[in-house]
Formats: sequence, structure tokens, C-alpha cells
Amino acid sequence: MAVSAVMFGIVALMLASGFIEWIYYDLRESTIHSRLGHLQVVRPGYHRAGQSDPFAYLLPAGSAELDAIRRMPHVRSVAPRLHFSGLASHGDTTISFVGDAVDPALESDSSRSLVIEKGSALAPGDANGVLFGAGLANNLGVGIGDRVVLLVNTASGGVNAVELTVRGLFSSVTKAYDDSALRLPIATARSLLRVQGAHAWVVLLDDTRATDEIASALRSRLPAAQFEVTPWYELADFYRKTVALFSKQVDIVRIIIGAIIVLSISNTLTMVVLERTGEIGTSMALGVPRARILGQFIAEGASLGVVGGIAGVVIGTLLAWLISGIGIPMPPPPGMAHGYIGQIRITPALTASAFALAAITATVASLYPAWRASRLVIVDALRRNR
Amino acid sequence: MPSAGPAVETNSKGPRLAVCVEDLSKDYALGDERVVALANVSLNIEKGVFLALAGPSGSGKSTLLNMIGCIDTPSRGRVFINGQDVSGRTPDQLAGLRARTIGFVFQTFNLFPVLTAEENVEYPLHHVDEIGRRERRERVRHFLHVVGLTNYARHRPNQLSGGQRQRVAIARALVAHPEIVLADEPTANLDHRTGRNILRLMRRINRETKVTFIFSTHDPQVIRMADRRVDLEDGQIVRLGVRARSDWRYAFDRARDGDDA
Amino acid sequence: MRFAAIVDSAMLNFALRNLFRHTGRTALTMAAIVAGVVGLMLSGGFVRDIFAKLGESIIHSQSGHLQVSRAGFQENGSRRPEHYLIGDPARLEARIAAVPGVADVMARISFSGLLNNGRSDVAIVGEGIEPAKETRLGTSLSIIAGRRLRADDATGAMLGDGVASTLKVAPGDRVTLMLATEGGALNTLDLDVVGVFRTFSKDYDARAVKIPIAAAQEVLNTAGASTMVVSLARTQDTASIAATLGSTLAGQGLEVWTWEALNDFYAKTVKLYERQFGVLRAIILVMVLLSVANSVNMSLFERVPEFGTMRALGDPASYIVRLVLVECVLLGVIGATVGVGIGSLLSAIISYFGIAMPPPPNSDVGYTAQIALVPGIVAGAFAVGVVATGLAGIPSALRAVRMPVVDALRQAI
Repeated sequence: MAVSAVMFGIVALMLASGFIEWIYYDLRESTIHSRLGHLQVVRPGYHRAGQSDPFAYLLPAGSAELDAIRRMPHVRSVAPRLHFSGLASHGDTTISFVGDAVDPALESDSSRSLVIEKGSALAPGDANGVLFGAGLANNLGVGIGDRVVLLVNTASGGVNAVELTVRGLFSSVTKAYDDSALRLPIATARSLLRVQGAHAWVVLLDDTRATDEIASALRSRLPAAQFEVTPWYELADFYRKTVALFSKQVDIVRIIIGAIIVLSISNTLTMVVLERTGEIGTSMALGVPRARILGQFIAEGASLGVVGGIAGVVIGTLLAWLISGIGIPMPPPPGMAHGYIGQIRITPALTASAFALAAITATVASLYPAWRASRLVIVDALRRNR
Repeated sequence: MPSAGPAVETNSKGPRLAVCVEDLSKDYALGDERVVALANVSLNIEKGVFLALAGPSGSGKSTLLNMIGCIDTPSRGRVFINGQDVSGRTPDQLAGLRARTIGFVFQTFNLFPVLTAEENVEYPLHHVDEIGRRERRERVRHFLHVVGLTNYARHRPNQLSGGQRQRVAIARALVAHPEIVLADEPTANLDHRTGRNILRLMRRINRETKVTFIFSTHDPQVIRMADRRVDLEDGQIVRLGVRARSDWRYAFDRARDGDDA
Repeated sequence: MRFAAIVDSAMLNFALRNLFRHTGRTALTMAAIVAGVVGLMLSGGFVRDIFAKLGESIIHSQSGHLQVSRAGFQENGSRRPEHYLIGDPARLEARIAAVPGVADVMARISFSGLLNNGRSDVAIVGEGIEPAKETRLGTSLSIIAGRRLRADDATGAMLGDGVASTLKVAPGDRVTLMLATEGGALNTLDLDVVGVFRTFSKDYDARAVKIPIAAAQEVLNTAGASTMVVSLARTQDTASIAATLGSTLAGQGLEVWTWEALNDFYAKTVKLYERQFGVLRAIILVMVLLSVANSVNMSLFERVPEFGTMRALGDPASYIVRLVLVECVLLGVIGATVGVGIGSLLSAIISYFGIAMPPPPNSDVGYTAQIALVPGIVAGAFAVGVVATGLAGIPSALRAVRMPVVDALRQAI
């Protein structure tokens, strides 16, 4: 029975932690693949001050460095981006927007986590198309096929405008982004803003774990005076804070489960000692040293934890696999537009820490009852023998 | 020949019989083996007797007593309490029957440690709705007095000696005015003198109130006090005896009469 | 079945005495119950505190308690704001202010445009506000540079933290606001940055600009307002005053929106935390149940001969199950009561000192967490303690009474 308490606690811990782990994974990959890429190569200082003076931070349109980056290992794609603000009008309505200009041929990969809700993505070669964030489209009152006019301040200080057709509506991980952003082909943006070049080269890798390795490789290849390499995690403030928040919560759950396991095992062993008082007395009378009694009961407690831990881990992994197959429908979290189908992601680290919790707490719980058992007065213990 | 011997009284199952047992058998599985505890036992017990079921351990006397007390169910055969067949009754119905008709005295006393002596004695009455509070208290007082423990009413079992505990148990067994009191080795956990006093007490109550007492025992002291004896061996009745002054007259003795009767 | 027939004072007495037979064992079992109850109270109160603080933050930095606007504005207003203007804000303000419980009423006018620092543009969502009143309401708006907007700042502007840092402007700098008026014409307005503010929401700070309502009305060519923001004396009155206002202003094409309805972020936060808390509560319930069941089962195992005796003496099986149930419920009630006591004490201590919390996602503002104990949370924790314990003994009790009486008696202790 005590084993089942341990088992349930471990299963619960594994499922909860695994769910959180999956959230980290999903959020991380979505953030990388819809907005940030794994790395961004920009002019030094762009991320801190670039938007106040964007035209001073432009990267060249094509260059040897750009090609060099493309040839590096793990690099799946390098896509240029331009970032700017302007006014969009449709009919009588004019609202402001934030624009991300992308290269449709290269960004189909990067935008994997951008959900095209209606219509289609930008096709390469389509010079007149624009994608609207779902919230922005709603605010402006446009749908697929509508024509909008984008008005901007150019690099030379003048004003320029272009008329584009809405090809599709997108939604991303962040609702605030969808409420204010649109995407258009970088070629169109360049002619609108009267610039060449880009604000950032967004680098996508084939494996998120290679980020740091490629980042340092890039830093050694590119002169620091002209290029700055920014990994995604320096830009993903929302992700970092989500991890901080949830990690604390998982820790609290772990503490509560640990506490109840300790109480449960402690209780069980106390009663076991009570039941076997006669036996213990007999053992000690026959010459078994107290230290052995102590060790024996600690071993019993520890083994309860180990057995419960193993069972919990196995069942937890099985359940995780099952539940992930079915999927957990989740409502949209704060700051996000859409709900999602959650899963459970069990990592070796998670499994190890869950097992360790069971084993350690059970062992700790057994210390006091074991100590009590070893301190029994032999005569009294024997008297209790039936 | 199905039965193991003729009944002590060959009358019909009339109201003069407290207990009638007909062709009773009990066997059970022990590992891969089948153990026969009772084999085709038939017996009639008159009201008011002080009867000992005697025999060595494993003879089936406790099993027979448990059948009579309706706390165990036979594999075959029937039990009649006060002329009524109890086979086929639900456990709750049997419990109700026990509450009103049968009192128990156990070898290990079986008092409730958290209750005082008088609360223990009162216990069987809390399910008998017809008896009001005042009468309950009256009965408890009466039977505590009968067993001589009036001054110990507020004591808990752990403050009483073995003999005192058994006396509380006897008072408890009697408080519901049962027809039958069953006692399984009541003196086994008592010293010789205390045991004798307990038995004298029960004998006195039997004479005064005509409550039927049935013992399961191997204690010669108990058998000496009984006025009927039923000897069992290997699950079968081997002797039936009626007291004749300080000796026994055996109505049936398998050793003497052989297997056929 | 009358309650008295289920349990009477004699049975209660018996049950209580049985509980305290082995005080050490009972204490350890209760420790599990107490741990569960305390855990639930603290985590529930922690979550409730988050809601309360987030709510107040939203009210006092963004939406106020209530807003009264033209029907359809809150849903569609960004599209054609001029369609949804309130023509005579002063009159409406007077009517709202007359409702008891209302502390203040102020007009706001919304607009969308670009803010330019001479070199680049930032898309902003702006509000024309009444500076003095908004200062009283906006207690969760912290000024991180410069000062708040004043009524005499004819062309002053307060910028959100994100806006200011994107444009790299500071108090004293000049910026130009460019927006479209009715009919599509573009209008510009030069503004002096008087202050930079920060709220709990980074997304909000990245796009928010506040200017005096007179300046906004002039550049938008209107005398109206988009919405009347209502501040109340007590947040708890929100729902009732919203209802009162709704009936007072019926038939005029106006809508009354509460702060909860206006803030999708809040609604989603509440849902998220309630769900997580629901899961936690279920986990604790099962763990307490298993833990208590464990210890109760051991005790019941020892008492099988005693139950056998009770049945031999004539107690029906249901009586014994009821007795065990009563004992478990009593244990649960006592344990939960102790848990509530300890939980309340701990809550008070923690709330007194407060726990510094880091900024949550999408914020740069941390806060001091406390434990907000409300009757609902205490009752819920108490119920879990009692229910988990009450159920714990039933399987064992049922098993014990299914056994033949003679076997039960024979079982050695």
C-alpha cells in the first residue's frame, strides 16, 4: 500500500513535469521557427538601438559573409529580414502596423510555426502579396483578396506608399504580434523603403542544441566590428520567463509529493517495526548486532522507494506515451491567441530526478523507524512476542 | 449408515430443543489437501442443559460449536436453533439471530479495550431497539452484580485481571437474555482456581435461569461440571454421556457399541 | 434513513475512542492529512493572490473598473473609431458619477498611428486622457523616467517603456505623432515627451502612448470620446454597479464592460492557473488518500478479530462499515481542522513577510506575493482532507466484513 502511494506520487510528478517539459520544448521551437530563428546576424547594437534608427543598421543585400554562413555545418537556411513600421489603410480605415519583410523562398522553413489561418502563404515571386496577422486584419477590416495601401517614411526622409493584396491571415505564438504585424516580400519592402540589404540574417539550424556551437563558429568567422551574432535565447524573453515561472511550480509540486511520500513510508515502517517487535527481539537475542537491524530497516524503506520509484517511472512513461498519442487540449494561455494540443515529454533527466526523489525520500523516511527498531530493549521486545 | 450415532433424545424437533443439528459436515481446503473437520454429525440439545463438547484438538468440537453459533456455515447439513432452520439465511439475518438468541464467551475474552466494563456489558443491547435506556442500564447493573463486579463497572479491560475479564464477558453474554450461551475453551487462559470459580458461576446461572450452556473444551474440570457430554474424535461423535451422580452413563459409545448403532 | 439511525452518540463515542487508541499512529496519519490541507491552502491562496494583484494591476494601469462606450466599440472600434464616438462626454460623465459606489469617471479617446523620432517610426496605440483623474486611477503605472502627464501639458506625452526604448527617446525629447483622421487625411502633431511609464504588460508598454484628451480631440477633429472609464471605490462592487449602470443607461446605444470582460489576458491567466490548481488538488487528494489508506488499513487489519467479535455479538456488517466510515471521517475532520489552523497561521506569516516574485512572462515588473485566503479556498482544502480520509478506510472495512466470522475471530493480532 505504501508502494502505491510512492508509485502514484512518482507517476503524477512525471506526468506533470513531462507536460511542462513539453511546453518548454514546444514554446522554444515555436519561438525559434516562427520569429527568431536559432541565430540572428545583425549590425552591432541593432537589437538594443536598431529600431530607433533602423536605416543606420543595415546589412548588405548579398555578401561573401552571407554565402559563408550558408555553407556552415548544421545551417539549414539563412534568410534576410527587414523590420519597419507604417500605416495601413483600407477604405476609410487607417491603422498603424509593424512589418516583417521576409524572403518567401527562404522563409517557408522559418515560418513553420506560423499558422496560416486563411488563404495561403506568400509565394516566391509574388511581388504584390501581403500576409496580415489575424488581429491586425480584424482591426483593419480586411479579408483575403482585399487591397491595402501601406504608407511608410523612407530612408531619405520622404514618404512612400504601395498597394498590396492580402493573400492570407496568420497567427503566431504571441497574440500581441498578430494584432499588430504583417509580412510582405523583402523585395517589395526594399523598393517601398528605398533600401537594399536587411536588418537581420536569420539563421535556422537543423538542431537547436547546436546553437552555441555554431554561434561561436560564426563569431570567429565574422569581424566583430561589423557583425553581431545573437542566439535565440537572448531574444526570447517570454520563453525565459515562462521557464522560470513553471520551473518554480514544478519544484513546489515536487516538494509536496516528496513530503507525502516521507510521511507515508515513515508511517508504514513504524507499523512494520511494531508488528515485528517480537522478531527483532529474537534476532537481537540471538546475537544480531543493532547496526544490522538498523541497516535492515533502512534497506527495507529504501527498497520500498526503489520499487515504487521504478514502478512509477515505468507507468509514468507508459501513460505519457499514451496521453501524448491522444493529446491534451489546452486553452490559449495568457498572451497567446490559440489553444494547443499538449503532450508529455519525458527526458532521461526527468526520469532520473523522479526516481531519485522516490529513493531518497523513502530512505530518509526510514531512518527514524529503523533507529527505533535498533534501540529496542531486548527483554521488552521478546515479551511482546505472541 | 449415514449418521454417526443416535441422538441423545429421539424426539422430534420440538420447542423443547434449544439446538438441533442434522447430518452436519464441514470440510475445507488446506493447500492441496481437503481436511474434514466434521463428518455427518447429528445431535439434539435440550433446553437448559449444561453441555460439554469434549475431545482432543482437531476433533471438531470448536467447529461444531461455531456451527451452532452460526458464525460458520456447514458444507452439508442443517442447523436448527429453537426449532428454526438457519440455513440459507443472510449474514445480517444470522447476526440478528445471534444478537437476540445466542451469547458468546471466548477463550481470549474479546472485550473491547476502549470501553469500560459496564459499556462492554451493555454492548449487545445497542442493536435491540425494543429495550429502552432505563431498562438497559438496569440489566447491565444486574448482570454485573451477578458476576460480582459491581465495583469495577468503570474499569477498562486493561485494569482487570483475567478472571475479572472473563466475568465481564459472561455478563455481556447474558445481558440480552439469550436462550443459549456458547463458550469456547473459556478457562484455557485462566489459572486453575479462577477457572473453577468461573465455571461455578456459570453453573449457578444455568441452574437459576435455565439458559442453555454449551462448552467446547478439553478441560476435565469443565467436563466434571457438565450434566451432558458429547465426545468427538476426527469430526465424528464417539460418545454421548448423561451425568449419573459423579459418573457418566453413556447412551452411545462407539468403542463399546461399534460403528453401527 | 434518519441521520440518527446512521450514527448515534454511542457510536460516535466508540469511534472517537478507537481513533485515539494509538496516539502515535493517529498523529502520523494526521500529519499526512495536515500536509495535504496546508499544501492546498497555501497554493490556492497563492493563486488567488495572483488573480487579485493582477486584477488590480490591470484596473489601475489599463482599463479601470468599468468602461461605458458606444455599442460595438470594444469589439470593432479600432476599425472606424469615429463611428463610435460618444458625442457629449460631459453629460454622460455626470450621469455615471451619480451612481453610488463610483469614485471617478474620465473620458478617453483612442487612436492608432505612428510615432516618429526623426529617424524611424513606431506603430502605437494611443489614448487621449484626462491627466489629473488618470493619475488618481493609474496607481499601477510606474513612472521610470520623467513625470506624469499634467493638465497643463498641452502637447505633452507619456510613452510606454517599450515605445521609448525602441525610439531611444527620453523626457525632454520631441516626437511627432502621425495618424489618419476621418476621411483618410493624415494629420501630424508634435509632442514633448514628459515621462516614460511601465506597467505589468510588456506588450502594452511596447505600443502605448498617452496624451491630453484636448490635444487628441484637436488632431482627430472631434469633441467626443471613445469611452468613459469608471473607477470604483471597491473592486468587489464591479458586477453590481455594472448591472446598475446597465439599467440606468439602457436604450441609449451604450454598453457597459467590466474589467474582466475587457481583459482577455486576465481571463486566460485565470483559466490557466485554475486548471493547474485543479490538477494539483487532484494529485494531493489521491496522495493523501493513499497515504491515509495505508495507515488505516494497517489499523483495520489489526482489528479484524475485534470486528469478528462484534459480528458474533450480533452487529450487522453495515454497522461495522459505518463505524469505520465514521472513524475515518472523524479523523479527516480533526486532521483537516488542524490543517486549516496551521495553514491559516502560515498564510498570515507568509503574507506578512511576502515572497518576492520575479517578473512573469511578458512583464518586466515583479511583485510581492502573499497568500490570499478566502472562505472558498479554506473550505475546499478542508473538504479534500475530509473526503480523502473518509474514503480511505472503506475498501478495508468491506473486506473485513466479507470474511466469515469464524475466520475473522481466528486471525491473530
